[in-house]
Order: sequence, then structure tokens, then C-alpha cells
Amino acid sequence: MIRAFSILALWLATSFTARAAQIELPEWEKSDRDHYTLGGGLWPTGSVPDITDEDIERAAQIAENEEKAKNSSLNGPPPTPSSDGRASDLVAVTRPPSAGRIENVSLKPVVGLRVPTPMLMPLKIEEVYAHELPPVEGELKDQYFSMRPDYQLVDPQHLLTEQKSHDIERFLEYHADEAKFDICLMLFGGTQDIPADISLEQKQQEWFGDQPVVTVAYFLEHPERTRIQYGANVHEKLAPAVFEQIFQSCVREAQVAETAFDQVERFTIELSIRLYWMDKLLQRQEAGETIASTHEELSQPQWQNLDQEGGVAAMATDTGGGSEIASRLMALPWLWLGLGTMVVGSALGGGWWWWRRDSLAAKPVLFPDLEMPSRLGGIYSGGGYVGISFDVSTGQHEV
Amino acid sequence: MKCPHCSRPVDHEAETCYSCGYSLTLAESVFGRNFVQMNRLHDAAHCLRKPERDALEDIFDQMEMRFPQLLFCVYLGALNDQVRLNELGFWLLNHAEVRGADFARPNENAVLVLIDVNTKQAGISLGYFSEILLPEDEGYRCLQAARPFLVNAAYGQAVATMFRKIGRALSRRARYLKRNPAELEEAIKRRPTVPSVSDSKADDERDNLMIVEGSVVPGRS
Repeated sequence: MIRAFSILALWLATSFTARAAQIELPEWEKSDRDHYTLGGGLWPTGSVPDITDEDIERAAQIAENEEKAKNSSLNGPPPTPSSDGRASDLVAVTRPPSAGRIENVSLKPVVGLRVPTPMLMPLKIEEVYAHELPPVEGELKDQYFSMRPDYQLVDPQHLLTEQKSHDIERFLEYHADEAKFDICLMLFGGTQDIPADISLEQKQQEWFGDQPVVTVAYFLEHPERTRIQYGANVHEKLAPAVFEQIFQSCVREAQVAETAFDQVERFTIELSIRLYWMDKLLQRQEAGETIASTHEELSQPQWQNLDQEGGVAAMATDTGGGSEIASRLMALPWLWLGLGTMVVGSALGGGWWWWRRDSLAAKPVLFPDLEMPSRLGGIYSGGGYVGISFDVSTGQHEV
Repeated sequence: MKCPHCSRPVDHEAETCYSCGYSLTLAESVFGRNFVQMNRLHDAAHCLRKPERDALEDIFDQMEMRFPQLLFCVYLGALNDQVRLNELGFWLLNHAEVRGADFARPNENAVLVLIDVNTKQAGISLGYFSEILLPEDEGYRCLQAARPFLVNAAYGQAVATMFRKIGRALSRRARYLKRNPAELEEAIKRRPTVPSVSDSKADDERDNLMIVEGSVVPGRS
């Protein structure tokens, strides 16, 4: 009890003493100020201004006003963009001479954050390429219609990105190799139109005649305006409902995509599948079967599932797009490379382990102790020996 | 197990060789009865250079770390024609003390590599314990691995190769014994036994065999 009381008393005494203690700081007198110069004499005496108490009070007042202004600006309207801003980075901001200098008092540079200028009303992605395109006339018209297209994709205005254009071209080439009906896809801008004096049907006949080619005029961002032109012999054989169903399913598929480029891709893939389906219809018709001629009949499973009979459409369906085909093809080498690396790594690791387990640097080995009988009078050895001769002249022999 | 003198098989408990009567006493009459001291790398022929000696010492250290019960040593000598290397090995293992070898490594556990640079012979002498661990065929393979270096008189490299091979062979043996603990006892039992002279039953069997072959048995009526 006494010990606890004494500890409490000691603690109280020390705490009061500590609170009462103060650090003795030197007090400057007026006369001392003349002996010590601001800057420690590192700079010429005239370059450092003398600071009086009034100057210090003024500087404090200015700092307080700035703090208030800063706090009020946080709740105010957003700053107006003045110049190009970058990401916020820590920089030394020096006040302009007129703002931060009061008479002879110069304020030191302060460290602050450079606030990036906010981007007001950023442009939508669609607006980037939805600029006004020139009408299809003159030279542009010639680029589209003057000659028979050499490639499956006709895009003289480069409306698609290079990657997307490459993907679609590859897909169309693949489709041309595998399917009977080729696709000739002509891309136009959303605001453009086919010239009035051009007939797509006439061009189709002029360019391809009776060849199994389907000419498609696709308007970017407006798949519903697409025109699909078949050959005359196909037109005669099948009912208009078949072509309408192909068109509707392609447009429906294209509208699933959000961007205009993906719409083109999905439209092309769906058209590929539908052309395969149409080819099957024609084959059945040639075999003597009566093909459905109305939308209701065509919607039945016996007509709709034709495209799943063969491998081409199935593959086209599975791939889901030219970019996926490309990505799968691209992924294969990496897969094999990864597997090969894994196998080689495992083999190396196994070899290293196999080599390491018998090496001298492995952990110590202890054999069981044995009591061995002696022979030939030897205490430690009975003459156990194996030897060779390395004399090349006499030949090698084991002893 | 063979006799160091005549290389005939010897019973594992025979006091003298049945064929030539060789024993340690005869070896002592040639090499002396005294005990000698040798280094674990004993280069009496002075055919190793300093870097080779250093490298071999490192290998010896590693071997001793890996096999704490075994003693490894090398004798490189320039012997005359009258000295047989296996007899010298037999005598050395029974009369030599390896400097610095602790009590956990008696000569019984020694693997002594002998190289005679004059007669171009190389061999491995084994103590009672180590001859169980290192069979003859394994020892022969170790010597064969070092033979190209021996032919080229690269003795340092030859010894290094030999000991690395011996280390690997002992590691394999240790692994095998770990899997089959009874194998060591069986290996001891399997050691060849030469029939004793006084064993009349064995003599009869041998005589019968010789009679069947139609040979004349010398000394028998």
C-alpha cells in the first residue's frame, strides 16, 4: 500500500514538474539585431531586405487571406480552362512579383499541386469519325464503281480502322475459300448514298454476271440501309422471303453491336452464315424439294437449321468473328510455345534434380555401422582392390 | 575378394591365402612392420601442381562432408617393378595413419586411390567397410572414367574425376541401401567362401566332379 502510494506521489510530482518546465529560449534585444544580419552573411548586406515586425504581421495577414480565398474557391464554381493541363504533379509555384511582394517583403516560393485543367464536354467516340463525308461523285464514284472490285472489301475512303479492315478482309477471304457465294462488301459513310445514276443490280450483272457473288452496299452506322444484291439466277430461283429473311437477320445481328466497326463485322459474319444457308436451300431445290416461300415457313426449324449441317457455317458460328479467328490463330503458337517451354523447363528441372541428388554438394549420407571380420591378418583391410593399367604400350588390363 | 599377391579368390575370413599363403605378415616383410603417416593427398611422385592440389583438397573436403564416415586418400608414387600396387594398398591401409583423419573415419572405412606413375598402374584399395559399399564393378568404372587423363599424365584431373565418380557411386549405393535396408547384411552373406582344406564333404564333392569330368585326381589313389 505504501509502495503504491509512493509511486502515485512520484508520478504526480514528475508530471507537474514536467508541465511547469519550459525551454529557455534566448531573447533578442534591440541592440543584438544590429550585430546579426539576415542570411548569416552569405549574401551581400543590401540584397537581403530588413524585415520589421510590421512586415511580418502583414505577411501573416496576406497568408491568412490567401487561405480563406482558397477555401472559398473549393465550394465555388469549377475553374475555367485556361491552358493545357497535365496530370497533377508536384511543382514549385512562384507567385508573381506583384501579388506576393509587399513593399520590401518577398515571399518564398511555396510547394503546391498543379491542378489539371478539366476537359469540358469531351467528344463522343462516334463523333470522331462521323464527320461530314463528301458525296459519292467524281473521283470517289469512280473508285467505287468504275471497275470491277479486285478485293472482297471495297473501302476507298478508309472508313474502317486498319485492324478492323484487316480482320474483315481476312474473314471475307476465308468465306470465299470455304463457301460457294462470295461477298463483295462496299463500304459507304452513314451520310453518303449510292449515286442516282448507278444501279447496283446493273453493276452486279456487269461485274459478276452469273458468278455466285453477292454485292453488298453497307452504310456505316446504318445497317438498315444496307443493300444486298444477288445474281439474277439466284433471284429467279428463290422466293423474295428468303432474301428478306437474310437481310433482316443480318441487320438484326449488326444492331447488337455498339460501335459502327463491330456492326460491320457482325453483319458480315451473319451474312456469311446466311449465304451458306441459302446455298443449302438451293441445293435442296435442285434436288427437287419445294422450298418454303413465306416467312412463317422459313422460320420453322427444318429450314432454319440448315446452316448447322456442314462444317463451314458451324465454324463461322463458332468463331464469332474475324478478329476471333485471328486471335485464335495467333494464340496457337503462343500456346505451343508455352507448352514447349514448360516441357523443356520440367526436363531441365528434372535433370538438375537428378544430377544434384548424387552430387558431392548434397546433404550428408550415413551408412549403417557394421562389424566386419578380418582376413589375411589385416586389421583394417583384407586387400580389397580394383585396378587398371594405363600403360598404352602394354594395353589395359584389370588386376 | 582376391589375394593381393596372386589375385586368386580368398575366403572372407581366411588367415592366409589358400593358393599362395600370402598374408599381412608377408606384406610387412616387404614394406616393414612400422606404422607410417601419410597425408590424405600424398604425392610421393611429386607430379601434382599447386592448383591441382588445391582443387583436390576441395574435392576431399566435399567428399568428407558428404560421407562423414568414410576416409578418402590418394597415394601417388613412383614405384619400382618389384612393388605391386595392390600389395602396397593392402599394407598402407593396415599400417598408415592419415593425418587429420578423425576417429569417425578409421582405415576400415577408407577408400585409398593408388597411382604408380612408373609402372602406369592405378587402383583403389578398400577397407573392410568400404569394400561392401563400393563393389568391384563400380570401382572399375571409376577407374575407367579417369583413364584418359591418366594416359595423358593429367594426374590431378584423373584423381578428381575418379573421386567424383566414387562419390556418385557411393550416393547411389546409399540411396539403394536406404530403400533396401537388409541389402547390406545380404551383401555380407553373399561374399564368396572358399572351401576349407579340412572340409572333407566339400573335398568329396570336388573329387566327384573331377571324376565325372574324367580327370585324374592328383594325390588320390
